[in-house]
This record gives sequence, structure tokens and C-alpha cells, in this order.
Amino acid sequence: MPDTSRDRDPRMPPATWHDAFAALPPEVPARDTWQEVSRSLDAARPGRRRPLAWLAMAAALVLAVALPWRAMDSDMDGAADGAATRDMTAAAATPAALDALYAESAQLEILLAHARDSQVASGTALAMTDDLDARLAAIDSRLSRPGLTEQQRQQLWTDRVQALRALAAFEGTRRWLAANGTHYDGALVHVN
Amino acid sequence: MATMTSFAIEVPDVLLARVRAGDRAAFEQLYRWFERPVFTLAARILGDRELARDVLQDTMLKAYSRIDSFDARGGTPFWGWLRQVAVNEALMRLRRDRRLEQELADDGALDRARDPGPPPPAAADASELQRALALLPVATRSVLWLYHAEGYTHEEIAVLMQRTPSFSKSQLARGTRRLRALLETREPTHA
Repeated sequence: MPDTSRDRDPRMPPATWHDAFAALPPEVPARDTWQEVSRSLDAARPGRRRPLAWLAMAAALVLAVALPWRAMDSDMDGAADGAATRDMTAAAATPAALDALYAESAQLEILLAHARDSQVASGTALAMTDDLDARLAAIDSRLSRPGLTEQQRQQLWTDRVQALRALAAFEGTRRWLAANGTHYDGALVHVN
Repeated sequence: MATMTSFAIEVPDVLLARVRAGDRAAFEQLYRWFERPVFTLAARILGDRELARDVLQDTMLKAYSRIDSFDARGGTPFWGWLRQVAVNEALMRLRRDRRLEQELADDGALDRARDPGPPPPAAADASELQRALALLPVATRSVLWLYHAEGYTHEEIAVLMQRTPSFSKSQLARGTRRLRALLETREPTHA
């Protein structure tokens, strides 16, 4: 990897702030963390290959998440490619409305951070949350596009908050099941 | 902005294919390549090495479990995708600890001064620059690092921090000015 910072004379002041930041030495963990990561991967492995649980998950996904999600999804699909088409009907975007969405989004992120516990997650539950996370990432990607109108931005933030609500509901349910001594994989078998 | 970031490591497709297939040795190689960039980014944003270590682990575990969702055909290199995961993990940690929200809530009037000018000579001193960075509020430091070091645009930072591009511009102008002042007021040193 080219390292332009090494080409500069260290006695010379940096020409730009980027040069100054790039010249900072990299931080290195105090100890090798690979073994810990490797052990975590070993712990997660058994949950990753369960075809029956996957089928069960699909059934429960319809009941628990997908149905409400579908109702929301039609809005999201619109946000993907045609947010402008809703401009005619969307409520007027205001800084106050956007601020409210930012605030709720941040609160839901905090809630999710508390609710999520990767130590007790099963492979199937991780797969479900991964799907929801991927949808969030897609919304974030669209939000980063330049040239969005305020109404498009507000619609995307509305979609984001809805996605976070769905994710928070799922995580909350997962925690509730865990607190009652079961988990999604087991609960899903009963559905079938 | 064509900013060179320490993340900009080209990963061969064949290595990614091996990781996707569950090859642990291939993933360890990937981990070794990106360990320092991820840890450095997390340490700069969080200002805490223990938290940065947690972010490093969470980022790499998430990358491993979600590598199937990375699609190079979208035009984003693997390092860009991984960096996005790392930034999100670091900011999530700030939100969980309620450090970010407090500062964002406290943020008042926007500061729209644009050009912060070049850094002062003292910025060439890595220890001084690190000291000055550590004195900045965490939200401000995060914006500065994402913009100056990683080359994110204001629009991208706005999405990452769930604020507006104006917020990012304001934090950048204010933070860079503050950083300059901290560097210019350092104690004189003798080489």
C-alpha cells in the first residue's frame, strides 16, 4: 500500500490536515486479539448450519417479521428507486421533522445496542438480523447520495426509523424468548 | 476527495472467495491486514484503547458473518465496505455509552466557516497532534478524523452520524479551528 506520508520530510510542516493526520503512527492493540476472534468464530459455528432451523426460520419470519415488514417494504422499495415519485404526496419536509427522525433513530440505535447480545445469538437469529441490517445499510447508502431533495431525505429517514423499529421489535422478542429459556430456533420448530 | 486512507488495501478476489468458503487461515490473513487500520480508526474516534479493541473484534466478526453481503460488483472495494462496518461499530459504541448524543444535543448554532487553512507547523509533531485531538469533544474528533484522515464527504458523515451535512461542515470548521488553537498554544519544546 502506498504510504505518501513516508515520502515527506518529517522536519517539514504538513501541507494539509490530511497530511498531518496521515503522518500519525498507526495504533496497535496491546496484545494479539486474533485468538479471541478465532474462539468467537468457533463458538458461533454450530448455529450456522441448520437447514431445518432455516426452514423454520422462514416460516416464523413470515409470522413475526416479514408480514409487518412487507407493509413497510412497499414504502422502502419506493425509496430505493423512486423517492421522487412520492414528492407529490409526502408531507413537507421541515428541519423539525428531520430532527425528530434523527432523534428517534439515535434512540432506537441505543435501544438496539442494549438489546443485542451476540453472546446468546443463534445462527438463525443472526441471519434474520443480518437481513434487516442489510436493508438498513441500503437505506444509508441511498442517504449518502448527493443531490437528494429535503423531501427525499425525510422519506429515507422515515424508512430508516421504520426499519430500526422492526429490528428493535425483533431483538426485543429474541431477548424475551431468551429470558424465558428458549430461543428462535426452538420456537420456530413449534410453529412448524 | 482523493484521500489516501490506511484502509486502502486491495484484497485479491481469490482470498475473499476462500474466506466466503469458511477458510479460517484466509480470514486470519484478512484480519492481519486490517487489524491496524480498524484499531487505529476506532482508537481515534473513541479515544480509548480498550473500547477500540472491542470494536476491532466486533468489526471483524461482523465482517466474517456478513461477507456474503459484500458484492464487489457494486463498485465498492472490500476495504471500503469493511471501513464502513468499522465506523458504524465505533459510532454505535459511542451511542451506547451515550457519549455522542450528549454532545450532539449540546450542539447549538451552526458554524459555517469553510476553509480552515493549512495546519500549523506543530501539527508535524505526532505526539502534539495526538494530544490536541484527545482534547476535542468526541463528536468533533470523529468528524475531523472521518473527513481529514478517511476522506469521507460531509454527506457521508451526515449519514454515519445521523445528522445533516451542515452539522458535519460546522463541526469540521469549529473542530479544525480548535485543533489549530490547541497546537499553536502548546508549550515550546526544544529538539
